[in-house]
Amino acid sequence: MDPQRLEQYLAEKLGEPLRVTGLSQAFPGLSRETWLVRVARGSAGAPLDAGYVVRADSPGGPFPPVPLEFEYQVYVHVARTPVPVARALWYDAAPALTDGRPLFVREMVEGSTLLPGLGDDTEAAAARRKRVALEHAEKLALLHRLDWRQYGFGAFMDVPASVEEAPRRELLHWWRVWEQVRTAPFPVVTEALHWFADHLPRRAANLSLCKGQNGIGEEIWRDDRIVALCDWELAHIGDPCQDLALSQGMLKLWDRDRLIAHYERAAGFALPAENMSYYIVWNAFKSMLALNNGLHGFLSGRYRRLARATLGYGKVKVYEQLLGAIVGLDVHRAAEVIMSGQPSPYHHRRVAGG
Amino acid sequence: MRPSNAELLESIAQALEDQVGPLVQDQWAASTLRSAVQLLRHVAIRGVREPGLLAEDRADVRSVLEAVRARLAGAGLPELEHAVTTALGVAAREPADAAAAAGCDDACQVAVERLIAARAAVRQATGGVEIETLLSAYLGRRLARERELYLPVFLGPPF
Repeated sequence: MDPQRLEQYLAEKLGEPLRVTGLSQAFPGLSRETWLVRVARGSAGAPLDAGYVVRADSPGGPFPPVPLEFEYQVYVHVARTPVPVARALWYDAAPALTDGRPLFVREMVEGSTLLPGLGDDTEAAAARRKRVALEHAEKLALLHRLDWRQYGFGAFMDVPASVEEAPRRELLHWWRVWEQVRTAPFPVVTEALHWFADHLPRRAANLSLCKGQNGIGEEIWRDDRIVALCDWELAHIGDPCQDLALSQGMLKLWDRDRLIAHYERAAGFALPAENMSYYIVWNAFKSMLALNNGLHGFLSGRYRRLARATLGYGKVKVYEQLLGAIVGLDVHRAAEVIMSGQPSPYHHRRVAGG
Repeated sequence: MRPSNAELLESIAQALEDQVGPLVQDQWAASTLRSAVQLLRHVAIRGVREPGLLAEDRADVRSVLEAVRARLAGAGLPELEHAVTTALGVAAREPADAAAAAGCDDACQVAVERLIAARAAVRQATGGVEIETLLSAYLGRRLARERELYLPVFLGPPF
């Protein structure tokens, strides 16, 4: 991103002169680009330091087939709730700054998505892991017990009719999406989708606003507290078990059972073990769908970043092998298969700032 | 001819990993290098194994689709029967090159996928699960055949 064009763009949008004093792109930015911007606002005599985050579609489009404007709307609505989030400022559908790729701008929240030393083999690190895991569970519980109707999420999100309907509605929605976005026939995945239909949870644990991506690398931390929940592109109304199942290793930071019990006390409802197992497997499918969708830009030649091929083709084939292995298993055994074989794409992600 | 393409590609990947990787400090460049190494290793295996795998799979899926067609005959699912017949027609032609072989593979997989997607209708029309059992067994064999193309190559850091 060109700093001078960005400076001009931000000055126009914010309605005052400013100078870009720092600009960096958050790594790895595989799905969407996240630009961290520091500016000096106002007159040269008494500038005010401020930070902004510019989030834009990549030239190859995002991994999850969800419009950026949807994520912007989530930010806007979450900002009206007690859930900590960066304030979204505006959405731009086709700015010249990004050659017509949509973007939105939000305020920068000071902190880090990484927690260096968390995995150290020390008593202090172990105590910290427990603290971080409990904090994460509490923030998820805060989100999941939110009265999303009161805050208007139902106006732009698909809303299941009941806790009984929620799991099937989620399945059918993403099944349709998969048929639209897959880059090739995947009969193994179709077979796995029948497995999901055969093993649907009887009911969701609750009808909650779910975040989608969450855990280490997805939130802004400061002093081991979450100061902003980030990355809302997969937010939806559904079973909160899905968020716990996709918490990027958070449930491994401390005693899993005690952590879930802590969450349940904070949320006010229980998480059925069957639902947890089901969504561990389901998240493998959703990850695969998003990664394969990201391959389109590579195949068309629009975006030949190599990671689009390693993820959108190679990792997808690994997921295909895993999903092929669940057919015939019960949900708990299938979850074990997925957990034992699922490589984390967040192996050494370096994401800084908000 | 030695060294083979696979040996050359693997040695390039190893050299990049061992000799270039440690010197790359920029995280974006290092990420690209990791992806490149992974893709080189995949191409090294795929170049050797893909033609044989496709031929093996073509014979397997033809046999399975023939068996499926026989069971679908008169079952009242003309669209599925047509899809199977079309795929068998493509699979019957000896592919002239790698692109034709891949096209043939796609055509067969489309038919297999359609049959699996129509599970309920097939069960009802044929009065059993024989067809899906045949297809499921085939998919298991296909996954096992393909496994070496993707595992362990794509288990490492992808970016």
